[in-house]
Amino acid sequence: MYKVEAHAVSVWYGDHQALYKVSLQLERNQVLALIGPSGCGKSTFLRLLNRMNDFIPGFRMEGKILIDGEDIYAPHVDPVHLRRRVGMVFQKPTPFPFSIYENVAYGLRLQNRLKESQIRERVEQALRQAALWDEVKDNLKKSALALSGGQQQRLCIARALAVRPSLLLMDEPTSALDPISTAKIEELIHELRQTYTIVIVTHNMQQAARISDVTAFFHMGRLIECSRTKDFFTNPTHPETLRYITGRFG
Amino acid sequence: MRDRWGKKAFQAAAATTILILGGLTLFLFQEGLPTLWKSPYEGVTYAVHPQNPLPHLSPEAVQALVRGETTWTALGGPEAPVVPVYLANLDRYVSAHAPAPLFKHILDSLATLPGVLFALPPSLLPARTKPIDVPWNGWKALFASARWSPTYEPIPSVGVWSLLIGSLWVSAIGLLVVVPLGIAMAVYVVEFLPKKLYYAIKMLWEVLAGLPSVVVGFWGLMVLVPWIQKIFHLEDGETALTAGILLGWMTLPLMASLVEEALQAIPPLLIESSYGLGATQWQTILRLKLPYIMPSIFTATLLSAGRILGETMVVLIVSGNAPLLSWSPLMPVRTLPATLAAELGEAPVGSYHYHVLFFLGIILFLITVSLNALAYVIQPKTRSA
Amino acid sequence: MLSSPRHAPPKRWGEHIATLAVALLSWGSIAILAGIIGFLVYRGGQVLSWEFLTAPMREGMQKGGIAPALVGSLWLTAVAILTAAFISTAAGAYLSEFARPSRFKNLIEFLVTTLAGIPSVVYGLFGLALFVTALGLGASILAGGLTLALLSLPLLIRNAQEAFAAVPRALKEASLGIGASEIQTFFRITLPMALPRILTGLVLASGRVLGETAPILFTVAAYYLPTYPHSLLEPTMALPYHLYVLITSGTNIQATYPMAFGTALVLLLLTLCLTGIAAYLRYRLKKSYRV
Repeated sequence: MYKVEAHAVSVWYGDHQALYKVSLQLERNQVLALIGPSGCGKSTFLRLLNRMNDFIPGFRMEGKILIDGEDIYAPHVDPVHLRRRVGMVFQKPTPFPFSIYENVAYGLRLQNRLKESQIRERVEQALRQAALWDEVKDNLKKSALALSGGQQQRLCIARALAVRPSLLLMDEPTSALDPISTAKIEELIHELRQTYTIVIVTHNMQQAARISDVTAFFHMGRLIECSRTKDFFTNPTHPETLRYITGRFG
Repeated sequence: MRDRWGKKAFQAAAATTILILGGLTLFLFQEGLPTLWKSPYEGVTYAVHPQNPLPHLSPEAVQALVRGETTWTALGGPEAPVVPVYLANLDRYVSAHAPAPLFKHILDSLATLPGVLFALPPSLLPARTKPIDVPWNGWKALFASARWSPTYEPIPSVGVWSLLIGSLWVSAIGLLVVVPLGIAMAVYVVEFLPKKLYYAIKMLWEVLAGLPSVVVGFWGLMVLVPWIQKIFHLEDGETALTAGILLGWMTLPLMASLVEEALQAIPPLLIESSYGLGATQWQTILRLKLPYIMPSIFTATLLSAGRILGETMVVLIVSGNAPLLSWSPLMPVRTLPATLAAELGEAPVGSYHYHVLFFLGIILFLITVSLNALAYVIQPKTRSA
Repeated sequence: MLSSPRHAPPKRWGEHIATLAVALLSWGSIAILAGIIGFLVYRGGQVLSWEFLTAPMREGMQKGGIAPALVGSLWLTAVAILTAAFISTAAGAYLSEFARPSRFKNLIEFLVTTLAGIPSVVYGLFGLALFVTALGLGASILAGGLTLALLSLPLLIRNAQEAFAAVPRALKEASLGIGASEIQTFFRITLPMALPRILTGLVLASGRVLGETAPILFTVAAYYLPTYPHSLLEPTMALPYHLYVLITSGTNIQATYPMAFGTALVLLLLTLCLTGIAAYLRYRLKKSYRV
């Protein structure tokens, strides 16, 4: 069974069609990179996977998206529960104006089921997974806003990991970071692949080539090509892909 | 060159704000501060029977003697009934139209009473009396007493505590109404109100903010006062509670629009992060949004407090207007601004009463200005954070 | 803005109750407003007549009309708004157009905020000390009008500042670009474009000024003066103070209630009209700039 399956997914925002019959599959513990020029629909596709598009007025979709074989747009599915299984990290670090500890505990407290000792355990575990523990373990009470940009983004990753999602979505997670922080995050994605399935949107082709197993190229709302990353960059089948990766694109 | 002078003219217009605040401060203090050193009985000499052993009397003792709350004996004076003689009660002994010799004769015979206490201009004072010192302390009179009776003769009581406590009661109740209600309203407008109704409700806020306070007070008097009276089985529904509820309600547009502004200014990505972690709409409101805008809520509360403290007419109409120290919100109260409005019209310009009222104005001014200044100072910091 | 999810989620009763609660509180507060307006329209409507609006009071204010108070209020509002209009527009222009970021500008902005928070009764004290006593104007329309002008300045300055700031920068720069001076640009481009918003603010402020009682208590308002003013140096009756007198210190309060309801209704309708018009204009303007 695939981790993520999309079957002929089309999306409209009001009258504007943003995605045209996109289909793809992603296996467990793989990293899928979504690339393409801005406005191509890659972010729209990403946000379908945890139903964040539901918030946008005029959003409408056709087709099916299955996660772990379950149709996530079926009427009985609760998007709130879905989002607890599908974590998300955004373009810019989005620390809440609380302490480091409370940031990571935020998602855990929402479910009201865990004891404080369990929460503490999960916070530490998530911070370790996000490779931030050593840097902050003495300052957990400090405001998250005092961290550097790269630390903040890793904190956001820890926050997403703390609720133990099985799928992690990343929407250009390094676009606001300096090269050193970017390298740290990429390294982290390598580590996380052991446990998680990751879908990442990036505007940076080198990054896609470095970190992903599968690459999908979107253009004007269509999925042009989706293949193993090795093949994608060395041997693209579609002329538009070739034009994009060789930089001869509008 | 012409351009420069043109700009100077605009700058001058802006500078009028300095003039206004400067002038306002100047006049308030000029008229109010004399309260601290002027005595309410300037030009009046206190005198007693020559055999009265007391060297001096405190103003409070004089008041107590006149009111019959104490006796000469208790103060260490002669064993004789107190016979106070002052301008306002002179007609008790002698008609103002009496011929001068008779007038003088009666005063002289009053002077022979061992318990007499004169408070008269020196020209009227009989010769055979002993002047007695009544030292006045402005600070003590204002802040060591809770009795407000500024026209009482011969010495007024100007303790501001009953008025301050009255203002405190009304503001506390007003804030209890406006803060939760204003937050609820702002949350409703931002989160749940259909977009089509957004401008409609903003217009209603504007209308509410523009309602003349005397009209609101009138409605309160006609409708709310009888309700409060019935609900709490009171003799009179004109209480601090009544005024507080109305004032809180009137301040809603201010509170709600400030909170709404803050809610709208939360970065959308932050909100998405919360939803992305599996928070429901109300979890996001309660655990992220409200904590996030807490500084703005605090500022809005300060501004609302300033507005409520300064509101005059509603309190004047529905709070019962009794300058008494009240220990319950169900008692009538009188606030600082209501006192000003009720009494300044009757206080002759330059009189002690007039100066005291301006002193109340200074207190009110300082409180509201510091609330607003505090709000202004902490506001920009919270925005950049 | 994030709206609620498309599909109905499983029932979360707590959330529904909370939503219902804030909706009820919000509409409940608005309902009180409707209640006040309805109550006064019902009780005051029975008194309202042509005579009520055009005749002076008679028989210890129990009969007749409110014309002197109505006329007095209009005079006061006119004096206040006309005075404040020029100062506030110029000050707003300075803050928005001409002032470079400086200590002076910060100071002025801070003072505008501070002045806005000073209670109206304190302005009344100031008016009494400055205009009535020190300048010797006595209790007069001029003294009261100027006091009200000071009171409305902070609101109007901020309004003018926002109005000027809302004029698109590109237009100003285009004018400067073809060689107009800053002052010329201001009078030919910025001011005309900002005028609708400035006027809206003036309408709104006149609604507020018309309903103010505390500042005119000691500066102008006459308890009973059933004549029309001949000059700005005379005292006059005014609607809000007249209403206050009718309900608290009339000679026979029970007998004057009908007149009080009528006065309250007229005052309410006048301010409602003014604030209503202004609010409508303002949000239309906001909309048109946003789109």
